[in-house]
Parts: sequence; structure tokens; C-alpha cells
Amino acid sequence: MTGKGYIDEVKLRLDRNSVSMELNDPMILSFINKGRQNVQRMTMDLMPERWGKIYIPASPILATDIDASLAIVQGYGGVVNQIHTMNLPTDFLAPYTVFLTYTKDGVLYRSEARRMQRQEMYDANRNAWTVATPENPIYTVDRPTTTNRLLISGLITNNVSLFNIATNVKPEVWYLAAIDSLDRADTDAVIPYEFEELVILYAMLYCLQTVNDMMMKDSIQGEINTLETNYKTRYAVQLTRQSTLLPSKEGL
Amino acid sequence: MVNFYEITLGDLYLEVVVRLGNQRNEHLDWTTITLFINRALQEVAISTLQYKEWYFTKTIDVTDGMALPLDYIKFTRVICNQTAGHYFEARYCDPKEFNALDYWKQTGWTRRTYENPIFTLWGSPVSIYLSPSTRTQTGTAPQGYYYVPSTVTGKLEYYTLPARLVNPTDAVQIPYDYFDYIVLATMRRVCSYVSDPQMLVSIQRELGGATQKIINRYSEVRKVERRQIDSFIEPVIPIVPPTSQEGEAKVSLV
Repeated sequence: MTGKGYIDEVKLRLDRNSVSMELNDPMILSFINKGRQNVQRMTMDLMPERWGKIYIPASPILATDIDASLAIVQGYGGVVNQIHTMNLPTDFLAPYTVFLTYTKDGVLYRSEARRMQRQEMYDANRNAWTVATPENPIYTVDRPTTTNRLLISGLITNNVSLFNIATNVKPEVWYLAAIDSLDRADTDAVIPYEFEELVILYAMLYCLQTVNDMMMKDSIQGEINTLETNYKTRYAVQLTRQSTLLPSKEGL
Repeated sequence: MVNFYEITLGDLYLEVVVRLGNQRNEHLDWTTITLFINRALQEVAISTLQYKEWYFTKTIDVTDGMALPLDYIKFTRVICNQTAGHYFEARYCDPKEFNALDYWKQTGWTRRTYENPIFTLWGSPVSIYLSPSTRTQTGTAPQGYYYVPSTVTGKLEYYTLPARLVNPTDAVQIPYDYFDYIVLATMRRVCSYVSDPQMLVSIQRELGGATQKIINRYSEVRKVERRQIDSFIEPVIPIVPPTSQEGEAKVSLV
């Protein structure tokens, strides 16, 4: 469905509520985008794969991309484990899984990083048993006020920096992304087909609120609640069916 | 898809118009009502997905990393092959699990093979990743490790939505017991179109009842199924031969 398609459908359904006269297309489109965000919020936990993105930075991270204030001296041998930093994209919501990729002797290595609390990174790197290495790196997401950044550690092994023995050192981040705004001519390739109706209803709700038709608004709100409950129940039934009717546990 | 009873778009249109009664006006033309009917059909097909024994499905060829079509709702099955025609069913893995099993350095027992392929979904637009795959293999495998020679391709079966109805004679491929539900879901849209909140509330109530009926029917079927399974009595091997009736030859177990 295109942005224009959504607008037309909202206008059509609210033909008698003075929406076409009182509201303009950009405003309805902004309500549609708000509705899409609501749908994402509702379904993010149920179907994370629908909101995922993969981020691989265009250029490799450098030996100098570090936060020196976070460096940790390993408890055994006194080697300094640097914490490397990389800015995350603006639509970053939460990490799903992170890899450290690098090329060594012509072979691409792709080590899955372990997620940690920022407070844990210090202890993990101090202890020789849990210290991060290129094969088992660790990461956390730092959220200062300016930007989201990835803190990744373990780019050193046996006191040899990974930057000396490998090239193209890059994190690969699989993350949950905030939904992009839809423009009039754009085709919505993100909202699952099954939730288009809900987006329309949300947009209608906001329109009715704006034109101050509270009675209709309440009806639409009721409809939204019913649909949302339906989706959630369906999801629960789907899980039950997987475990009770299909002993193989294959998804239905 | 089983066609229990053929309802046409024309039938649905008539039903909606009759129900509308006095509310019918010149703005509610064929195109508008058809649009609402198509939306209602989609809603019915989706919101009852888990409660029925029939579905709209599609099968497409997939390759590693391919973006899924827009009409994709949920997968039912993925089969993969390395050699043409030799299909094996792939197991769905969470992206975290998938990457652990897909990596060439992973040598555990659960590692994917051509006979036990795996797949996952991720990305924007949502894409399918198949494994075994050569996606992350470059150069020559380090000593002690093994590179798979090729990437599997496969077929994805998934739930989708019914085709849009255009002509009055187009048949609605839905069993007749969903007829009321479709009409009510269309009426709900019409009510908001004609801006009649009272009628809207009453339709919503009716619609809730119709949904509940479908859910109840589903749980009744499941209950009966369970009762039948529970009542199954395992046959016992006879130890003593049954006594023969008059006129019968003597029964022997050997």
C-alpha cells in the first residue's frame, strides 16, 4: 500500500466527519505514520524479525577508534584491553546480535559477540577466564545524550592487536530498527500486510480526535482494542498449537 | 483451498446493501463497497488464521538473502535442495541461533547440513537466509575446518491473503460459514463511512459474537480431538484363546 493509498482510505472512511475539509493530506499522512509506529510498538516483541535491519559500516573501524577512558588492564599479564567504539545508525532501537568480522590470511572470520552490561565489561576483561578475544568478543550499547554507540572489546589476543594481523575489522550489527516515515508516493514495504487495517484505524482515531468527534473516536478505539486483542490471542494460540498439536515443534 | 460454497462478490454486495436499508446513499457506490468488502476479506482471513483448517497459501522459489514478497504473512514450510529435486525440510532458527549454526567454524553436532538445512528471517524488507551457504566463506578453509561447496536454494510456502475481487461474478474463496463475518466486517467500515456511531457500536457487538463463534468452534474441535485420543484403548495381545462357538473350529493362538 502506498502513502497515498492510506490517505485515500482514511478520507473515504471518514467522508462524513468533515475530515477532508478540516484536515490536509500532510496531516493525515503524519497520523498514518504515527499509526505505523504504534503497530510497530505493539508487535515488536511478538515478531522481532519484522523490524530487523543489518548494519555494516562502510569503512572498517580503526585502531584509534577507542574510548581511552574505558580501557581495562587485564589482571594477568597487564595487557591493556581497549574498548573500541562505533556510532550506530539513527534508527537504532535495540541490538539483536552483533558480530566482529575481520579478514585474516584471506579468510573472513565472523565471531558472534557476547552482550554485556556496561558495568560488567570491566570485570570480564580483568579476569583471564572471561577476557574478550577476537574469537569471543564482548559488546554493549552505550547511550550518551548525543548518539548511540557500540562499545566492543576483544580486539587483542596474546598482546597482539587484531589490527596488526587482520584487515577490514568491522562490527556487523543485527538490530531492531525504528520504522521510517512513509511519504505519499512510497510503497509501504515494512508494515506487515496484516496490520494495514490497524494503521488505518489509528489514523482515523487521530483524525477524529482532531475534528473533535469523540463519539466516533470511542467506537474506533474499541475497534482498535478488539483487533489488537485478536492479534495477541492469535499469537498465543499459535504457540499453543506448536507445542500441543505438532509434536515436532515445527512452526505453524 | 476447499471451496465449500460459492459466494460471489455480487451476493456480498447485495447483502450489505440490504442491511444498510435507509442508510444507503448515492455516495456508497459499487467501487466503495467493493473496496470495503476486499478489506473485510483480508481481515477475516488474517484474524481467524489460527482458528481454521483452511488457509490462503502460496509457494515461491527462494534464494539465500532474498527479500520476501509484500503479501507474505507467515511461513508454513521451507524446503531446500543442493541437488535439483532432492528437497529437505529446513528448520526455522532465531537469527541468533542461525548465525551460530551457519558459521563455518561451528563444528557442533547441531550444525546444519544439506540434509538438515536451516533458515531465518531478518532485515528490511524482511529477507530469508538459507544455510548451508557460502555467504561467509572466503579464501581457503583454515586447517581443520571445512567449507561447504555451494549454497542451497529452496521453496517457501507461506500464508497470504485472498485475491482481490473485482467483478460481480468473482467467487469468494471462503467457506460459507464465514459469510456473516465478512458481511459484518464490511458493514463496520460502511458505518464509519456513513458516520453512524450507534449502528457502528451494534455492528461491533455482532462482530465480536461472530468472532467468538469461530473461536468456540475451533476449541470444540480441539476438545473432541483430545477426547477421541484419550478414549483410545490400546489393544492387548490375548494370552488365552477365546472360547469357540458352537459349529466353529477350535481356536488356537498358535
